[in-house]
Amino acid sequence: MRRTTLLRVLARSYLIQGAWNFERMHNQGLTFAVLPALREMYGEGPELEAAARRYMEFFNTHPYMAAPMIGAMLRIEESEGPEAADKIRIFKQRMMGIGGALGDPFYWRALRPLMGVVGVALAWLATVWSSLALLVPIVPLLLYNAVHIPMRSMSFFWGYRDGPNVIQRFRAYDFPRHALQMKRTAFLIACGVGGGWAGGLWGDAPETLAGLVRAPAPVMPLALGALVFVCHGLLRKGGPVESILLVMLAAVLLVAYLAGGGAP
Amino acid sequence: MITIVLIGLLGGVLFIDRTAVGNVMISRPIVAGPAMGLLVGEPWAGLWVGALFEMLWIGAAPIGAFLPPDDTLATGATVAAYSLAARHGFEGPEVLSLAIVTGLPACFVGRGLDTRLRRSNADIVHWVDRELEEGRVASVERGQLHAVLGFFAMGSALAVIVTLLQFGALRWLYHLVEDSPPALRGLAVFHGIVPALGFAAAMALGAPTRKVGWAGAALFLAFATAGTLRLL
Repeated sequence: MRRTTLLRVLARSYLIQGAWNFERMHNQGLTFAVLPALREMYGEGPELEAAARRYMEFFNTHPYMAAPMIGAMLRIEESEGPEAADKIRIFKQRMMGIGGALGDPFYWRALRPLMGVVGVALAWLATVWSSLALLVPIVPLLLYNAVHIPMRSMSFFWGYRDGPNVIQRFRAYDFPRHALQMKRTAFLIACGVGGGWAGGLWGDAPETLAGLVRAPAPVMPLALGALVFVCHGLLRKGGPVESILLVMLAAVLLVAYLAGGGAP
Repeated sequence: MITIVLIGLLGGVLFIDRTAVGNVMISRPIVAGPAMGLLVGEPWAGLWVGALFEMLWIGAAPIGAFLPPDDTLATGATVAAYSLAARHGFEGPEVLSLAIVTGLPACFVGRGLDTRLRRSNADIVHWVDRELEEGRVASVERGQLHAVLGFFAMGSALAVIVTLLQFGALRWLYHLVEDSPPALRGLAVFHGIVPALGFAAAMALGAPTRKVGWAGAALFLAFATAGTLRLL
């Protein structure tokens, strides 16, 4: 297959969820992505129509993990032609779940939270060093896409090269171990930044709290730390974050009313 | 008027990144907040709202058919509504607190309408099926373009409508409390302490092992102590 055609398929695979629907999920996005390759293989005509119809069947996986699967499907299609229908169907059914099982914990549950925590840490540091403010949206985006885009693009070509055996490539990359490392890093950053916030290293939370309750200054970080751990406990018990936020607001307003309008 | 159009355009671009095109994460609050903040001339508010909302919904992931709350719309509309409030003469931590609270419904409005749009995408798929039966293969591309434009149009419209509604709610709530010093003080304090919930949500992602959990607790205490010593 021509390299330009492969690049067009890869570019289109970034729109895999463009017509996401509850009935057949990514089916149309998949058909849209592979169409340039099918056109090159079959030209215009009944064979192309039949091939396109085949790809309109149900398809759902992690959107990034669709790329190696698309590459592999093209390899099968190219080597076996219209006879590839059953083989592609079986491959899709086998790989959809694996794609989700690898992609969801790695990208959604590890890389994305890590990106978020890094951004949040920079945002709090920017309250001390304001020149960091510009980096807040840029660094997380670069961090995330330095993994996402090369992995998504490379894996498409792995799929095209290795066909149905593409999964072996992912074994070598050991996604679960990297996911664990990223989760660990994200957790530790969140703890460190949270502790610094409670202690007033960045932001002015202790001083702000002193505007509500009369207590010696060192008590404020203790109270804020306790608040973090109470919220943490409620969230771990399944409390919705929105409800906890509203309860927190109601409690603060109640204390403010009880304390009266003047300075404490 | 130009600002409203720009809010709509940026809202549309951010919304399609959530699902339809790319998923490069410009739609995450930590990026969307500062971007909207820069657009409407409130970069610090954008940074603050973005950082807070990023933490609040950091664990919500679109796995399978589950759609998480629309934190992108909530972030964009909250920052934009706050900027409109600031232009009308009311700003500060109290107003930002009200903006956060009025931004919460946007998460669910966005998710609800996103769900409806994805249901209606099935109609496009059925149309493409029929077109393929007739031998018109190019309809796959037309259908895809139509669906992506649908996501963009909804994202744009939602950004504008929710911003204006949120601004209305914000203004109404502010006029309700502006003469009450305890309420204003409570809102200012809430602005200062609400990140506690965000940090809790980020920590609730969980320590992968018990050892890491203890290390996290020690890190929290170490940083909190360092700050406290500075206060003494």
